[in-house]
Amino acid sequence: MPLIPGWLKRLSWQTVAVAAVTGGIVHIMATLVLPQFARATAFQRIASKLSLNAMHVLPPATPDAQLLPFLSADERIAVCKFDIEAGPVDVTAVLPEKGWSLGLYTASGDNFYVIPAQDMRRFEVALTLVPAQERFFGTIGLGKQVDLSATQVQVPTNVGYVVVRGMSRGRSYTADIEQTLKKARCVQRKA
Amino acid sequence: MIAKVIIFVVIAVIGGLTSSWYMIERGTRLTTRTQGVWTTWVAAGRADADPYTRAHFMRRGMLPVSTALAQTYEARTDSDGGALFSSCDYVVEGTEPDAAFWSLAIFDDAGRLIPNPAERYGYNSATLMRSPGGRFGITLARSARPGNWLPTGGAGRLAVQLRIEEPRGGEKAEISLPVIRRLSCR
Repeated sequence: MPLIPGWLKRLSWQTVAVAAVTGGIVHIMATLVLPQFARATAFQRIASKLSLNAMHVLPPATPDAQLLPFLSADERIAVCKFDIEAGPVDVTAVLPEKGWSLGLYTASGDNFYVIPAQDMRRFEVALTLVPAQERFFGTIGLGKQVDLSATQVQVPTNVGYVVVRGMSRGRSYTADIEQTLKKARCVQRKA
Repeated sequence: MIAKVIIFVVIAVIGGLTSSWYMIERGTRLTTRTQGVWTTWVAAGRADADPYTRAHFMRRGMLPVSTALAQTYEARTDSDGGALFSSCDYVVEGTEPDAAFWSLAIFDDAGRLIPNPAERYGYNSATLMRSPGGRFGITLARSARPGNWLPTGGAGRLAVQLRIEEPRGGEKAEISLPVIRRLSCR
């Protein structure tokens, strides 16, 4: 049996080129479109638990109530859906020990900013989320009080998510972790 | 001739779809790094992630931690290449990863926690019992075992997730990862 069938040999290079380009276009389109057919992205799965510009501590993952796949039962998270369209959002959280972190995500799930807990000390994070073009001037309006102690973070999209993660050191720490997560805040500044 | 061209284009379409599915579901050397039984998506959670990585995590409904902070590895086979099954017992053993924090958890094939009366689903560097010298072993088994034990119930295929936060040497450092050794099967 010949390595290449006769009819294939008779195809012109133009046909092969068209087929290759078609395959490439289909590949690219499928890669970009397939995620839209996802049953639910992570943030869509937890949407019912959230309200805008407020931090919510999600319930611990159990086999009967697991909001996200591959989310360990040791891991507790607090999530805030923010919208900076109407003004900057102030975020505060305490990261008491290693294993904790605070991450900022776009609505499509890109983790564009992450800050881990620090060694040997309780770490209090204070961030102000501002639109990308307003870092220096937009939030410093005449007659407004400016909080210079908070780090300003430029957010690429108006809507996104703050995720505070805490890791359990055992069941006896469960209440402590929950209390620490409940202290996290996500508040829009009044105009 | 036209029929052959149509067939050829159909093959091209199928090839485009299949290759896209494969690169999103499994990944390639462009998007993943494999070390022993462990695979990690190198741009997981990053703002500059490639479309395959982005699609992979969106499709799975996961909330990845940026690889700038943590490397998240997944294993679905033992060190001999056999798929992890709840009908077998395994031990995950090695030296502790050189990192600020790490955790290991077991799930079924779809990433669901495995129900068990002991309510054990994972260990981390704060909860693990280890032997002197930093070596550790975690037994994956259906029934109780002494020491570090993670129940596998009747989950069928298993997936083990290992997350290493702030590895010494940075995100591109070669980290010593544990092996997964099969002990016995029923």
